[in-house]
Amino acid sequence: MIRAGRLHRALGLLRARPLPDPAAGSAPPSRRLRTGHPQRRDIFADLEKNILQFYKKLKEALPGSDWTPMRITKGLPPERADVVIVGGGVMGWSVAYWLKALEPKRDTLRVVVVEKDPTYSRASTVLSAGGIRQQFSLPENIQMSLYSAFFLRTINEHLGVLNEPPIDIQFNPSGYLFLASEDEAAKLEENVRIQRAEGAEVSLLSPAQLKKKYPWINTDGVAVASYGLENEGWFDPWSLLNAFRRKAMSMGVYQCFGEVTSFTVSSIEVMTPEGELTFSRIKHVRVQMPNSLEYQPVECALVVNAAGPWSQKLAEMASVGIGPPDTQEGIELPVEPRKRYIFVWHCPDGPGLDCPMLVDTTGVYFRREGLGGNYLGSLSPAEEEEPDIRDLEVDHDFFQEKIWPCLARRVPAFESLKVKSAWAGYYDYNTFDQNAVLGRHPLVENLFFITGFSGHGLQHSPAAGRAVAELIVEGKFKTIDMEKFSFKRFVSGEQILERNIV
Amino acid sequence: MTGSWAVRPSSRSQHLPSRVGNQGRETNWRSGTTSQAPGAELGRAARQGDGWKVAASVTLVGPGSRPMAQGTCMYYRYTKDLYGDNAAAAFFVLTHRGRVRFQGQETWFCVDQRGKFSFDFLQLRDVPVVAIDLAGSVLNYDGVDNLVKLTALQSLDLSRCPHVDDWTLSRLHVFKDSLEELSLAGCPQVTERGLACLHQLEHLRRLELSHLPSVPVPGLVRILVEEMLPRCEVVGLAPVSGAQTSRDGREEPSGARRAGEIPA
Repeated sequence: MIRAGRLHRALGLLRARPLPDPAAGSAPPSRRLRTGHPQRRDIFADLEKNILQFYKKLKEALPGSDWTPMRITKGLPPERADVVIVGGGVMGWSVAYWLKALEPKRDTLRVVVVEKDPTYSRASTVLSAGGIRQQFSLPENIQMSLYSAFFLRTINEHLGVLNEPPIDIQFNPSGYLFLASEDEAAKLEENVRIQRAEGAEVSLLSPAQLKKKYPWINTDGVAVASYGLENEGWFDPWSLLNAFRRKAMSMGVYQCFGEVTSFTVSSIEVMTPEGELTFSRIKHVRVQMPNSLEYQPVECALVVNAAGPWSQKLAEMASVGIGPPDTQEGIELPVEPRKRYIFVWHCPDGPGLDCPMLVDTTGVYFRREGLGGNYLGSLSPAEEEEPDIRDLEVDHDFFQEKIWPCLARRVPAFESLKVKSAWAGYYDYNTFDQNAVLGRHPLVENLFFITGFSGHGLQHSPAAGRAVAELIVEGKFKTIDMEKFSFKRFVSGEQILERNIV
Repeated sequence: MTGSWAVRPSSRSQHLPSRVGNQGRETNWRSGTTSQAPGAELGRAARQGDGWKVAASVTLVGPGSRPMAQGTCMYYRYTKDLYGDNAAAAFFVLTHRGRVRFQGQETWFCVDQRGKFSFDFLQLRDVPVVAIDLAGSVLNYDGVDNLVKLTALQSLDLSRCPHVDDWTLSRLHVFKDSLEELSLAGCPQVTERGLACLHQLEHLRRLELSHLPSVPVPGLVRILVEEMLPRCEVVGLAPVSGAQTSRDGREEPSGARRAGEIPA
């Protein structure tokens, strides 16, 4: 009873009093004796204002916290983040993992990965043939492949999560075999010289040696061949993507399924010796939820463009490429989607367990798939015959007319084969020089690129992700110097060409 | 002998760096060795790069494994400089409780029950090593560094090595001109994908592949391996069912076949 009384006094509720009876005598009406302010605050007077003040104070007490008393929609990204990675393919998750692996202390960076397709139905990563090779002509590409091979070999040390089964990427160490005709022989030998100088184990074979080693090859028109002895082969891209994703999420990276529709950019015009330039910063990333009108503007410090074939569209949202043609603002990111097919066929008498990833003089490539006599392969179409990128429909005539004759010529057993299945995917094709675009944009100060790999992104993903993470966390490249791949080369016009594109 | 103090195994084992995962010392990915001195050179030549004592280890940390004791292979560069590749390889094999045989010798050098061995093999300084038995040892990808220079190796026994996997097998191509016998029996991490790279070993005559738990369809893989290596005798990988398509009748280890029995 005493407590109830104190509660009533604290809340300032009036105690029930009998009403003054007008018929009774003129006894003086009883009134409260206290004249000062009540000692305890009255919450219930002006309730709504008090509640808002309470929540505001609580939020201030926990800065940067996501706590909110109102129930929010599931799946929205946090309201503010340090790094927003747009694109949830192998590149995006590689950067997310390396950011968490290289950050100076735990939970220093809040990283959000935004991916628009939760089923990954059109993602280049999972549609890839999954090869890894060191046989490139650019030393930085060779270095990236060597590092990535080391990473894949020690993948459980890097991406192993406690209490989860060990990661198996199903690596086939069968190597890449490049065949070269008379005209290309000198180029191939020069490339092999560069590869050996960087530490790759590559051997050169004459046609006779080739025939002895692989009796099922027809060596007509082959002048020399190069075979990668170690760290080359193919693996399962989906396992690698999931390994990166699982590890990054276990380290605290936020995953969000949604599409980035626009950026909020603030810019200033600066007068420089080269003229007037517009420097800008991305302030918010507007993420639209799938199949919904809801969106969340994520306030961020840095944005990483890992959108693959759609990188150019994303960069345009930050005004990269929007501007007068002969200014720096007008230089667009030269990455566009290019459709590539992969065909799977069955041939009962084809090459056996020793079949490498063979790349013919014509550009046709194929490899063994499993143990049942299945093979998968394709050809990159010529520039004039680029297929339509609006959908991922497969053109089977392409196989009949362009690929099969070359296959049958090179491997006589492939004269009788049956196509079992086919699919198509996009290359994030760099139309400038078919090499990666890595690093910051010169004008949009907090936009980083990790795109443009033109078909060899998957095999470079651990190295490239690490490079961009080092750039973000430490300010410079530490493991491999990727300064050559920066956006500035589009401004200056210098191409760094990769000659060995499959 | 002046150099004997440098090759005492017990003192070296106390200085093995304790290494769990990648803390503290990052494995140099270019040469695959964990080096104490900075600034390794690029390229494969860097395996002989810097520091006269480099410890190469890849620890496969998984549930139930002990990273420090298993999978640590030293790369004895100092020994190699002083006594040559063959002696260094022999020393490596003996410290890992294996056996080694030199050319022209009938007897194997091996360890006794307490793990001790004599240093007589140092006298065979320029005699090539022809046979190595590392059955059951903790050899892994980086440990093969110690063996790659053996150009005359004819027999290699890697049975029951828990850390020999497909990546390790891909390094065996260096023995393509000499290796005639290889045993991978009982290696839990070897799969058919690693067996595909044994195609490089042109002179292989005998290949033991029994008890490989990670190979999915042993009968089919055996046929594919036999087709890949036509001059090699493949032992093991018996199919589960009774049907046998073997070329010669010697290989069934659990064989209940009587002589002259025609397979079903």
